[in-house]
Amino acid sequence: MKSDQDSNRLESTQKTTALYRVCMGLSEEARSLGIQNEGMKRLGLNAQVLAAQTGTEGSALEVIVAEIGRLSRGIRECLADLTDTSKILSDASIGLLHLSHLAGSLELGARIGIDSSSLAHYENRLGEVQSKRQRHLANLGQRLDQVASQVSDLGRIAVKIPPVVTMIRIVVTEIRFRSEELAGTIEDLKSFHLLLDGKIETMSILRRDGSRLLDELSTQGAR
Amino acid sequence: MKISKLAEGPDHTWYVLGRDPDKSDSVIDTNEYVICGKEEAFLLDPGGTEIFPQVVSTVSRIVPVERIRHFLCSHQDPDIFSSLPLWMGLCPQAKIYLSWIWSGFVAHYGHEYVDQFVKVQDAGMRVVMERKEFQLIPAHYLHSSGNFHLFDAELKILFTGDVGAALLPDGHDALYVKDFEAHIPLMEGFHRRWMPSNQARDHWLARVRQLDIRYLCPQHGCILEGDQVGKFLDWFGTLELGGALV
Repeated sequence: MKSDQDSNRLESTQKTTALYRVCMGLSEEARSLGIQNEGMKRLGLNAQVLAAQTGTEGSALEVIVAEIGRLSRGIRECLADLTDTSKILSDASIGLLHLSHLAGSLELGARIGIDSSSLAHYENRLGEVQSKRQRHLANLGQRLDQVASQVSDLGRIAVKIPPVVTMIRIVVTEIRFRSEELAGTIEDLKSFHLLLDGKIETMSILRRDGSRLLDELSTQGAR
Repeated sequence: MKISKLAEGPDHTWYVLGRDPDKSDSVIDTNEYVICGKEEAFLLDPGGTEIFPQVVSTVSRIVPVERIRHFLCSHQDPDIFSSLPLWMGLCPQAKIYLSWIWSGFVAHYGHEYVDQFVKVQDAGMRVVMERKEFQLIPAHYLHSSGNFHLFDAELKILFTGDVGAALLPDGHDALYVKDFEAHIPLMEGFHRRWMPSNQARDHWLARVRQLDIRYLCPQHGCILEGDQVGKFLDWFGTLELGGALV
């Protein structure tokens, strides 16, 4: 009996810790993407400088500048939400670890046997801890759903990058204005697009892992 | 877990719990002491998280757990009170007596209960439960640098935390010392290694020799009774402590 309890508790602790790692992973992905997004903002600034240096061709570049700026702002807003959600998720998963530990110990005490003189009081406390744990699990589930929606928002922004690349190509081929610098911008945007797709994929995997762990923890109980 | 009634007065009774057969081998065995009054109870060094289920189950057979209004945390070790959040969830009104130097450390077990801490100053203090008075006796550096024992003058019981402790071999399930001389080897290594200071020991001995003690109750090992108490104090007085430095 003791070894079953030990292995159940270990499994529950490992799953909750894995969930915490998922939450921290999401937070880290959002943070590093934020840094990359600052680079994207610089691309917009570079294009702006080029636009300022020219005459009539500048109007085509200003459209590109505005578009890159919109993409960057959109990503920044998504990341701000994602960072907030990840922070709440990390805190909630630590809380869950604590509550699972409390619930596990209290449940084991109940299984060993609590005298009838203390039983009502004890069960009341056990019920409080179990309810709190369930609320934490539900909260984590809701937050992970938010992550799914925020990652989708990022995906919607990502699909807008190829048209911007096409726009720059048009400028390069039709007006042949500062083609070298703009070709560099195209490559940077393509790299950023690849990176963003990669991050979206990683975050989606993390989110799915988190949901799976949460489902398992919900069905497993505290221990 | 075994329960043994240690002593009984007109208004309060001491119980000792220990020797849990289901305890993991990796966890050191501990004794928990419960002082039951008519309405309130006092739990001394309630133990670590690992043994909480067994302890709470056993304590509930002695007293309704919500009646526990006082906890002693003799020092900061995890086997003393890492179960703090579990107990305080059940007994949120209870006071926790502990050395002032450890309050910030013990709070790591559950910071939401710090309002219930009674930070005992180095000189010790008197604790009253239902007009029954207990003394918190300073035992600093034995082994912890902020350490208290509890003395019940009426029933002549001194709870001594790690002083008098013994590391018992497997299968040793007695709660009381039967043969003091045979018990010495079980205590000796522990005291030499865990107790760091001869000076602190001498200070403590001078203080407790003034007390009329019938039972000396450590947190690990076996209870010493009657003339075994004097024998222990004499033996302890001759021991060279701080074993890791020798």
